[in-house]
Amino acid sequence: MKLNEINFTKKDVEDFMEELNVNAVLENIDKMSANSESKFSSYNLNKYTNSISISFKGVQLSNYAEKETLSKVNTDDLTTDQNSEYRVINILNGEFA
Amino acid sequence: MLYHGTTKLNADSIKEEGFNITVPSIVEVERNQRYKNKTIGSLGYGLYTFENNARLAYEFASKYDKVDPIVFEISVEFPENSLLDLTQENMNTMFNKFCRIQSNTKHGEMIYNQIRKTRKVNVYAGIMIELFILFLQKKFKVKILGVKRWEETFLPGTKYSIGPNAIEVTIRSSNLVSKNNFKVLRKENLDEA
Repeated sequence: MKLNEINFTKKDVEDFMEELNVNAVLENIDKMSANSESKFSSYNLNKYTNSISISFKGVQLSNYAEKETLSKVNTDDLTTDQNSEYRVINILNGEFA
Repeated sequence: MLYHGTTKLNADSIKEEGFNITVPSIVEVERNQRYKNKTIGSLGYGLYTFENNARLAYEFASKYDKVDPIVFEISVEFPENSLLDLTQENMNTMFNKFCRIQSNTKHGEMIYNQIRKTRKVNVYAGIMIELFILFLQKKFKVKILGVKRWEETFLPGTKYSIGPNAIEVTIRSSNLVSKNNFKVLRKENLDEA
């Protein structure tokens, strides 16, 4: 069947939703960032998830850095490379909207 | 043609290793542990691109890399029946019908309440797309490898929403993007693309 020819009933959707592992969906929602611009963070960044970190004025920043720590960084003080990584870290932490 | 804007840091990795597109399952938790910080966009998971709009891809990337944003030009041919094209009236109607019905089910209400409780309103559209894709797969045995829809991309200087400004297309499989079908678009060629 072609996609643009599909049709379904109310019961089809209700049955699908009834069988849905809703607890898994809810748990996944809990883990999601509230950042709407995920089109940036959703591509090719997963490999950085456990590895990105930069050292800045003695503070090690990683993708798990606290929001408060991230906010202390003055980006004007960062080198170009550090700035790029800082942005990635922020995005992974959902701080850039 | 599809255009994907990103930072130089990310682009260097893509040039070396290709696109690594990961699509977590919305109904599996354990498998998703490796995607701990992965967020979901309004078109669900996947690689986000702009259709026939290299300039917008560049401006979007400029928000994250003011120094050297990079745009990839990607040529993708989706297999028949694998692109969920919501720019088509019929498909969009079906999607809206699905969303309307599911929202009145018990599990649909639980999802909505969880979104409200966690204040993640922005992820709701993406979750609906993922559920619809799952529904199509189960009910009609079709595998969706991409989603296409008019979307609004906020650019520097944009103060308020004014409605969709580009067609976005997600690519949900690395197999569709080999090193032979993408290239870096030179900045001077942006407006020719």
